[in-house]
Amino acid sequence: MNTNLHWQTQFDNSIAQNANPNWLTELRHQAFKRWQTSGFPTLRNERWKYTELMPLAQTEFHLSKNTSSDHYQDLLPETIENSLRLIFVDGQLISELTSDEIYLATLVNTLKQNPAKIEPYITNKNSIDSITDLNTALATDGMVIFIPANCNFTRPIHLIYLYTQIQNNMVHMQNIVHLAEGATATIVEHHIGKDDNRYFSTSFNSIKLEKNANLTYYRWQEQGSDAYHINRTQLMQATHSNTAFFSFDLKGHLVRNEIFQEFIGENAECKLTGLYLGRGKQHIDNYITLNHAVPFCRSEQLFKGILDDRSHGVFHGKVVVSKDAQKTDAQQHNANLILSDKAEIDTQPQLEIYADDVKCTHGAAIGQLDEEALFYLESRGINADIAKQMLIYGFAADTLQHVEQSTLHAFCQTRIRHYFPEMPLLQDELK
Amino acid sequence: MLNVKNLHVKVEDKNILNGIDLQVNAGEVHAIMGPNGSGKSTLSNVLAGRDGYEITDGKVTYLAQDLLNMAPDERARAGIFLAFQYPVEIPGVNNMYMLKAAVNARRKQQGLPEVDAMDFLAMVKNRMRELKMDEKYLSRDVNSGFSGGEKKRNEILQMLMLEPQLAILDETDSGLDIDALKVVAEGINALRSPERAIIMVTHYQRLLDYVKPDFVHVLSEGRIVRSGTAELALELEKLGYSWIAEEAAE
Ligand SMILES: Nc1ncnc2c1ncn2[C@@H]1O[C@H](COP(=O)(O)OP(=O)(O)OP(=O)(O)O)[C@@H](O)[C@H]1O
Ligand SMILES: [Mg+2]
Repeated sequence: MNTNLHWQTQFDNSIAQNANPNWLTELRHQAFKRWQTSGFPTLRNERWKYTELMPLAQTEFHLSKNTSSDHYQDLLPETIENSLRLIFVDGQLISELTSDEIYLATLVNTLKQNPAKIEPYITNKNSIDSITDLNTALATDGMVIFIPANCNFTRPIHLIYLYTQIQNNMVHMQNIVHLAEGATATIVEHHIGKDDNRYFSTSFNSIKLEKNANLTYYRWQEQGSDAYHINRTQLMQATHSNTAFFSFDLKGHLVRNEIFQEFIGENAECKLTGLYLGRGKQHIDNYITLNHAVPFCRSEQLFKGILDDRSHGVFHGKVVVSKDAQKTDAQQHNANLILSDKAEIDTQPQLEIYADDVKCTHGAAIGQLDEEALFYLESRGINADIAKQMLIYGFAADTLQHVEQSTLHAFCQTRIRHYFPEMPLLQDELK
Repeated sequence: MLNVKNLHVKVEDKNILNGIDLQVNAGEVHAIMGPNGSGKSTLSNVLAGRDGYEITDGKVTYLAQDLLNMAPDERARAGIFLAFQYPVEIPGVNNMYMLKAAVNARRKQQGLPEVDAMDFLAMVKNRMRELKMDEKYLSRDVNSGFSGGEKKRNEILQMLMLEPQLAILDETDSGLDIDALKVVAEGINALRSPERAIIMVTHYQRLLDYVKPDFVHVLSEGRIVRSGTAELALELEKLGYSWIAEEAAE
């Protein structure tokens, strides 16, 4: 097969189907050209040394033409109370929603009506590797969310991306989120896909918080059992802004989650909590960078992983503290629960400190189920298998400690519970 | 109800219990005392079915069943309850959830339907009031971040909810302040009944002032070296253990 020709056709079709502003068409062409030269990153690339993308390179993925919107209902997650729910099926929004208080529109519509609003986000996308180029070249839609100054938008915005049963489908999305000065918002980015179906998706997020803004962000990745998924989030935080970011990787065949966070204003705070659950032959790679470029900021990072069967987890967490970033407070921890001899974790927590007056800690732990705790539960009459499930679930659910909104707490718990079917469901939980 | 015969237990090639004989009948309260490291927790753990102990000799029957052949969860469902000397923290597992799962496991065994959610809540709250425990502990994770005394109260709460046939309390009184001790003792007394038996491991007379034992045993170097009535504990309080050890050595 002529791979280059295949990608060229995909790209040409996409360009033909999307009437983009000239600057964007130009940008996409440049990105595609770079992509054609480099192709997928290989294991020789330091950033990808634990994650093999060869199978991706060997498959002819097609940009989905039309949505098969008939078979997605069973993929839909529970409703988050009082949320604004936007559903994309195979890359297409199936029902438009607007709000009087905030700007909420698709990338396609924003490009038609107000391209200047998002131009800087698209042109300033950090081109780290060829995956960025691929996304720039092929991502034509996504959500654009602008929260105006001092708006306390209390309704959670639930962005649901569903992937149905189109074989060898590919979907590339780009989301842009901006919180103006003093704005507050809660966003849930949720990917869910059909099992036993190979597809490839990338989802790029550009998020910016201006002064005093507050963002709670949930990233749920529950892709299908044969899915390839790459998620890359760029998060910029100005003075006194606050982010609570939750990242859940519960499914997918090969998943890479990247977060590039940067403090660009002082006294800002970022709490990053992650959970990854590997079963079967899943491969889940978290690549996290926190950048303390300015003084007086706080970051707290906790990633927990549960790896069973022959699954493989990768945690690369880097905290960079620049020379001027005095009084930085940075904590990072990666804890792993290994449930099988064949499961594997590569963990690399890293601190790169160039300032001298800072408080930084980091560490990683790899362990098995706590025998004491297991005996404790059994001694209460709980069957050993169920007790194990409860402990594993407990290890996972511990990441929800910082979920302050009660409706979201309930949602997260329910969602995680789906992965522990043997745990007894008590009557009052059934509602 | 419980019959321990010539029980010998080894841990990592070290003999810990060297021939324990103990007969506990329904309705009785037994206190087990003895110096640190004499094997009290080992005996409690072996009765509850904890892993890591090698039983080299002896036999234990509980309600006509061979106890040592039962898994820990089976024993619990058959009515044995161990209040841990050091209760375990289980982050991420909700206290109320665990309690209800435990009660339902027991009920299932007895052929009863799952407990009604509202009844259960009312019952727990009642028990918590008796134990002067704040209701907020229900929504917390099992023992997670609880103080020493709070953990002990939580053990007693579980005991009262599970209504065991045979309760083994391993130093439940240790680490309790005076008021808490009284509350916990009332909890233990509430469980006392002609159908149930209680084994209390303790170092202090204080608890026995509140919960009067029918029998007191002294464990030393893995043997019961003396058994008596409540008066034995009073003597021990005055004279310590050394005289018994000396007598035993003679
Ligand atoms: N897992 C183990 N590994 C090694 N030694 C052990 C283990 N468990 C118990 N032992 C040893 O067995 C002996 C008895 O311990 P045990 O905990 O039963 O004593 P105890 O009477 O409960 O003491 P205390 O009054 O201090 O609670 C001690 O010497 C202890 O060190
Ligand atoms: Mg002990």
